[in-house]
Amino acid sequence: MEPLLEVRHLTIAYEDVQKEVVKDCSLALDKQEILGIVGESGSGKTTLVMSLLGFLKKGAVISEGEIRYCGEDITPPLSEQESRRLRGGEIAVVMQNAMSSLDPLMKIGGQVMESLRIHTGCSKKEAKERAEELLDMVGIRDAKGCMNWYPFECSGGMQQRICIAIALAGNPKILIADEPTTALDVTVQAQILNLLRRLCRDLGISMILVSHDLGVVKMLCSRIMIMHEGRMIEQGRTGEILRGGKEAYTRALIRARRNLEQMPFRAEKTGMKPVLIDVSLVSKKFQKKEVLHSVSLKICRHQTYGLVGESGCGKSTLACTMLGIYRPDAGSIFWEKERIDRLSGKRRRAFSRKMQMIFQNPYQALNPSMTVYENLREALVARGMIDKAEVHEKVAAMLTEVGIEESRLWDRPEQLSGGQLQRIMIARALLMSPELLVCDEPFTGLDIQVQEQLVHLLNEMKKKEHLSMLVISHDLSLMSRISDVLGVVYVGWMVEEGSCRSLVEEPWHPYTKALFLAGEKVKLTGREKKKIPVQEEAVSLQKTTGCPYADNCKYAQKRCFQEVPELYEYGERKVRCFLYAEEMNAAREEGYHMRSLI
Amino acid sequence: MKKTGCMNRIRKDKNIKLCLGVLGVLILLAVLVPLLSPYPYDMQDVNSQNLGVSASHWFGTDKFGRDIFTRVCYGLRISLAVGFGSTVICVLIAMLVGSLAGLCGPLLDSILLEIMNVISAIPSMLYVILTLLVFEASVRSVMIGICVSGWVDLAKMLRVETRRLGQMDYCIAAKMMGFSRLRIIWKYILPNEKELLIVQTILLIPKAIFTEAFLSFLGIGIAAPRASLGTLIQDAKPMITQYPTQMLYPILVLAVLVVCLQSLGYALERKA
Amino acid sequence: MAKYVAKRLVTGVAALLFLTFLTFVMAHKMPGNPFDTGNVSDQVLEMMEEEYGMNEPLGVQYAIYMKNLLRGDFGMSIKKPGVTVNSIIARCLPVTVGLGALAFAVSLIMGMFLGIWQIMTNHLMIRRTIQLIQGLGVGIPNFVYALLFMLCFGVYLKWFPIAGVATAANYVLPVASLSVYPVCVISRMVCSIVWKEYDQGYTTFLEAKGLKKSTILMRHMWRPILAQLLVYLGQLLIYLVTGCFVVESIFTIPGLGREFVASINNRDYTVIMGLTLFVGVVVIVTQITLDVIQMYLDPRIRFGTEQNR
Repeated sequence: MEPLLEVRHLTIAYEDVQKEVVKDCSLALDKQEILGIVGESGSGKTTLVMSLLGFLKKGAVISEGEIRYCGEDITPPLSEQESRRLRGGEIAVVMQNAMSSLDPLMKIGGQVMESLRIHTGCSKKEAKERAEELLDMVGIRDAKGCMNWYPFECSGGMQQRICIAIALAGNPKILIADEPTTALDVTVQAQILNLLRRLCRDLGISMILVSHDLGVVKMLCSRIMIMHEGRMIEQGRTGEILRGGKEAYTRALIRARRNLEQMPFRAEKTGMKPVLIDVSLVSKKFQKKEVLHSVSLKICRHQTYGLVGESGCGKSTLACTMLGIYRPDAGSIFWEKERIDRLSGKRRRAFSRKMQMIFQNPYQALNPSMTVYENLREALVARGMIDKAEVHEKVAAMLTEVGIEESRLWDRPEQLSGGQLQRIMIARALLMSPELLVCDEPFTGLDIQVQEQLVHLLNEMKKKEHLSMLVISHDLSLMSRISDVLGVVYVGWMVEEGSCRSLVEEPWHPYTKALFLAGEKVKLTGREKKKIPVQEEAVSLQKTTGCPYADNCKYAQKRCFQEVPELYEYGERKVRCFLYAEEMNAAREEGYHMRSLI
Repeated sequence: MKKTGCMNRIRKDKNIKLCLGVLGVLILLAVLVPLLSPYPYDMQDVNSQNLGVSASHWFGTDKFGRDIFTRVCYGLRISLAVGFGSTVICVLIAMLVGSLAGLCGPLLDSILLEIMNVISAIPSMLYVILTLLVFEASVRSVMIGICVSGWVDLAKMLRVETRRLGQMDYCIAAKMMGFSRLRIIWKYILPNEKELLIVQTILLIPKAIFTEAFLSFLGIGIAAPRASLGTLIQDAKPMITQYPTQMLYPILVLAVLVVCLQSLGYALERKA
Repeated sequence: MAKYVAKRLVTGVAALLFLTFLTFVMAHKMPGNPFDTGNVSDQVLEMMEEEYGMNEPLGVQYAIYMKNLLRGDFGMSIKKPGVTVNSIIARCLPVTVGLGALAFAVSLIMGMFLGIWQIMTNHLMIRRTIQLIQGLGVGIPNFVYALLFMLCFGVYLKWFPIAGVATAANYVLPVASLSVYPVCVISRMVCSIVWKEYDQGYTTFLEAKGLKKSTILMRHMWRPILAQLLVYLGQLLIYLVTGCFVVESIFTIPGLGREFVASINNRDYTVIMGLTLFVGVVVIVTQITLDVIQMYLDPRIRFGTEQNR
C-alpha cells in the first residue's frame, strides 16, 4: 500500500554559507501510524518536519529530493493556493511553545473558529458549536468558558491543548508534533501524550512526533527514526531500536539514557550532622498572590537537598528567599544559629557570599560584555583578592577542574555553547568558596549526554569542595539520583519530605505518587503501570480553603476540601495529608512504623 | 562573535561610512572657518549686495553684503555646539536618573517616574521658549532650555532597560557576590546598554539642532547679527522670489546635517 | 483599572499645576516684564492692577491668577489694550484646529497606506524607494519642507496660493508641509510593528493554519498596530501644535500659532502666558484621555492580570 507521506533523499541547505542542515533524509509514513523522530538539538529534525509544510528559514533551499503526499508531489516551493490547501487541511502542526503560537490579543474561541472556517466553510454559528466540541475533545474542562478567554489566562498545558484543537480543526490526515511537551511539567506531559495517542486512534490520523526524549517517543510511536547532524542514522520499529539498534550513535544515546535512569541511589549517611541552613515557616506573597505557604526545610553540612515540584510551585522563589534576593513576609531563616533574613546591607552581603546559585538558563548567567576571564575574576574580586598572578592562577585552575580549556579564557560568552557556559557558571560559583550551592533547574533543556556529564560534575565538585547543595528540579528521577533528602512542593506548600531512598521506594503523598507515575511513563526501563487520565488538571485558582491538591486527588474526602492538613511528622518523614493525620491513626503503639497508605 | 562582528559590519556598511564622512566634512568646516574664510560673519559690504556664486563668495552674499558661505559655516558652529552640548548634558542626566530609578527601591522609582511624567507632560518646545524669554537669547540659554526636558525620554528608556537587565541572572549573581549597587550599575548594566545609549544619543543631536534652528527661524532663538542656520533662512525669506538661492544654501546644509545624523542613528540601530 | 485612571488624573493635575506655576514665575522673571511697575503705560498699569492684583504679595498674586484660570479667563493683552487672550483664542482656534485636524487625518491615512504598501509589496525597488522617502521625510525639518513647497509649488509652478485661508486650495500646501514627517513616522512604525509581531512566532502558526499573508495582516495585526498608534497619537499632537507655529508663520495663516509667535516677538507677556497655558492644558488633557483609552483596549490590563517576576 502506498504510504501517506513519503520523503525521498531530502537535502536542505543554506545557500550563502554552504551548510547542509538536512542531508539525504528519507522516511515514509503510513496511514494511522505514529512515527517518532529523535535527535539532539541541532540535529535538523525541526527543519525537516517544517519543510514538509513548506516552511523554510530565510536562505534555506531544498537542493535535492522530493516530498510526496498521497502520491502527489508537494516539494516546496509550492504555489500559494496549493500550500494553503495543504496547511491545516491535510497536514497540521503543533509546536513546542504553545504560548508563542497563539495570538495574544485574540480570544481563544475566535482563534479556533478561524481555523474551522478556513477549512470547512461553515457558518459562524456552526463554527462556534464545533469549536466548543473541539475544545472539549482535547480535554479542557470548561470548554464554553474557555472560548472567551485570552491565551495568557490559561496554563501551559491548556494552551497546548488549544493548539492541538486548532490543528485538528481542519480535519488533517497528518499531525506533526514538534517537541509538544518539552516545555511542560511532567504530569501534564503524560496527559498530553496520552491525549495525542487517543486522538490519533479515534480520528484515524497519522502523526510525526519529534522529540529529543527517547522516553516520550517510546510511549507513543510504533516506528522511530534517529537523526544526528542532519543525517538519518537509523530507522526501525521501536522495540528493535530500543533494544540496541544497529548504529553506534543509537547505542550511545540509549546507553546514556539508561545510565541516567539506573544510577544507583546515594548511599545513606548516618549520624546527626550540623545544620547549615534552617528555613522555618517562610511565607512569601507577590502582589496578593501567596507563592509560599509556611515552608520549612533544613539543610545539613555535606548534604544534598532535592526540592521537587512543577513550574509555578514556588521552588525558585524559595531559593531566592533563602539567598536573600527576596525577604520573607513571615517566618525566619537561620544560618548556623544566626538569624539572617532580617539583615540588610553589608551584613546580609557577607552571608550572601556563602551561598551561590547555579541558574537555569546558562545563556543569561554570564555578563555578555565581559570575557570569561573577567567574569570569573569577579568572584575573586568579591572575596578581596587583588594580586593579579594569584587571581590568574586560581581562575585557570578552576577552569580546568570543570573541564574547560584554558584557551577559552579570552572568549566572550556569546562564542560558547550552553554546556560550556554552564560549566563556567559553576566555576564562578565555586571560586567564591561557598558553603551552600543552590542549583535551579540545572538539567532542563540539556541533551541527555550533557545531563549525564553534569550529574557527574556536580557529584565530584561536592566531594572536593565539601559543599552542601540545594538542587531544584521538576525531574524526579534525576533528582533521586543525586539527593540525600527530597522535599516535594505543590503550589507553594511543602507536601512531603524525607530521605531520598525511602521517599522513592514508598511515596506517601498522592501528589508524589502522581509525579512518580508520570515520570515512569516516559522511561525506557520500566513497565507501564497505571493509566494516566487524559483530562486536564484542575485550574488552580486562588484556593483559600482546603488542601491545595484536593481537586486532583483520588483519595480526597470531604474534610480535604475544608481544611488544610498540617505537616505530620513520623521520624524523618513529613507529609501533609489527612490520610496520615494522627487522629485518623489513633491508638498506635510505640515503635510503630508508618507506612504508605496509598 | 556578535560584538566583534557588529563592529565589522559597521565598518563595512557603506551608508554609515558615507554619513560619517559627510559629518566629518561639516565639522571640519565649522571648526576651521576662521582660517578658511577671509570675511568675518558680520562684515557688511554695501558694494557686494545680493551677489551670486563666485570665486570670492562661494555661496554669494546677502542683502547686507555679508558672505553667505562664512555665515553658513558659523551657523553650523552654533548648530553643532547646541546639538552636541545639550545632548551630552541630557545623556548624563538621563544615565543618572534612569539607572537609579531602574535599580533602586520602588519608592524612589515611583517618585522619579512621577517627576519624569510631570516634566514630559508639557511640550518641550514650551520649556525652551520660556527659558529663552527669561534669559537672554544665546547659545547657552537654548542649551539649557533643551536640557530641561530633553533627558526624560532617554531616562525612561534607560529605566526600563536597567530594570530588565537587573533581573538577569548575571546581575543577580553579582548581587550574590556581594557587590554594591553602584558597581553593578557600572560594570554589569551600563556596558550592556551600550547599544541603546549610543543610538539614542546620536538621535538626540538632530532633535536639538532642529529645535534651535526652528526657534531661530521664528525669531525667538538666536537673533541677528549672530548667524544661526535658522536666522539665515529667516533673513533670506523676504528675498525668496528674487534671490531664492540665498535661502537654499542654509536649508541644504541644515538638511544634510540633520539627515546625516538621523541616518547614522537608524543605521546603527539596525546593526545592533 | 480605576486605580490606573485615578493615578493618571493625579499626574495630569500635577502637571497642570506645575505649568501654571512655571508660567507665573517665568512671567515675573522675564526682563522688562510688566510686573515691574514703571515699564508700561498708566492705562495698562490700571488693567494689570485690576486683573492681576499687582501690588499684592506674590502668593496672593498667584492665587488671583489661579482663580482667573479656573474661571476660564486666560488674561489680557498688554500691548493691545482691551484685547483678552480668550478673544484671541476664540478668533484663531478654529483656523488652527481646522489645519491640525486636516493634517492629522491626512497623516494617518497616508501613513497607514504607505506602511501597508511597504509590507505587502514584493518588489524590492518599491520598498527601497519608500525607505528613501521615509529617511528624507523624517530627517528634514518641517519648515524646510514648508519653504520648499512654497518655492516650488507656490512661486515657480503657481499651482497653489501661499498666503491666507481664503479657499480650500490655500490649505493644500500647509497641510502637506505638516504631514510629511508624521506620514513617514507612521509608515515606519506600522512596518516595525508588523515585523516585531512576526518575530514573536505566532504568525508561523497562523500560516500553518493556512491563512494568507494579507488575511493575517488584516485580522490579527490591526490590534497591535492600533495600540501602538494610540501611543504615538500623543506625540503627534504635540508635533502638530509646534508645527502649526511655523507653518502658520510661513503661509501667513491667522491661527493660534502665528499669534503665539507674534506675541513672543512683541514681548506681549500676558498673552504669552495665557496662550502657553492654553496649549499646555489642551495637550495634557488629550494625553490623559489617550492613555486611558489605550489602557482600556489592552485586555491584559483590563482584566487586571499581571504576569511579572
